[in-house]
Amino acid sequence: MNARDTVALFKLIAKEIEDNKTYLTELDTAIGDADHGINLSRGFGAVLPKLEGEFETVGEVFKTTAMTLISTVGGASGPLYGTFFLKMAGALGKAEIDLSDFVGALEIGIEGVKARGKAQKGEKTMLDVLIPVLDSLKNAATTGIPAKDAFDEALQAAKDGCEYTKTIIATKGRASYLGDRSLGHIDPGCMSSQLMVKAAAAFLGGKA
Amino acid sequence: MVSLVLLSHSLKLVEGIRDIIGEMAKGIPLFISGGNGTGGLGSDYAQIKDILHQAYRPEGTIILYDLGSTVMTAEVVMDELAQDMKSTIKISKAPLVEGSVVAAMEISGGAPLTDIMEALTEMELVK
Repeated sequence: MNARDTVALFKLIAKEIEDNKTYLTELDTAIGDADHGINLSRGFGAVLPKLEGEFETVGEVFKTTAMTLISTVGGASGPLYGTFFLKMAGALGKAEIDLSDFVGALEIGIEGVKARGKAQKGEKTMLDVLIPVLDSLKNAATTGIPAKDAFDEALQAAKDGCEYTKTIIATKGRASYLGDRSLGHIDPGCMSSQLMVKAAAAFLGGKA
Repeated sequence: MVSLVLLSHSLKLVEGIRDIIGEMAKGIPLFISGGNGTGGLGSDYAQIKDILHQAYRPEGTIILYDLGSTVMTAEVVMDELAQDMKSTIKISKAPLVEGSVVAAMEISGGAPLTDIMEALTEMELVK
């Protein structure tokens, strides 16, 4: 995957977020402050024109996306996804990356999210999707299956992770104020992360 | 003099606290940021970046905040600062309203950063 592919991938992610803007906000209305879809849609809407620039490395595309999200989202998902993509950018300073490069960057990105949100797995946050996705991709990278198949498996891990958040109580973020009333609801941040994995799987599927 | 930065999801909230502080401690270096910059609730990276630069004092800066995501935005800004500047900024988990009043009174009395942080630590919330 090169910088041009990365631009195409982020455009697909932006579309996925836009298409699910209302759904994400509905999830956030149930257990948050009812703005996740609106905020991310504003953020990725601002990312799109920035993707028209020239990029030499994959990391530059990630960095541009990250800085734009940080500047424009306005909610918690701004600094969280911003930090996530920014940390990944630092590990992707190459013109062309493979699955193992991506897995390495993803691991660093997840560490960034943990530090920024002072969160771990099992607290009903985006980490409950991102960490299973990392584990799945790590496993796929060692078996040497094509990236497209790896992301299909990762998408299933993301879906399972989202479903899992229904069964746990939020201990981080706005939903934590609800106590056990957050049970039975999908975490909106998990869903937006799942949508990004879905876009990546669709992108790689389309390429193959 | 130590500077004080108040961050909130709501501009009205920090404007109100500024009014309260103004009655008691005039003339302290006080900076506020509330809302997403376009009139809505949330946080505004550009504004927080701007006021953290304005608030810079060699004596130190204290940040008080209401909910988690405002402070995450401040931490993103802080990560971009040079270490010597970053090390002058302390984030307190004291309650925003009461912590602001305590910090403002301490600052107006000329207290050093460590003493003010000590007073605020006793008030800390889980957040």
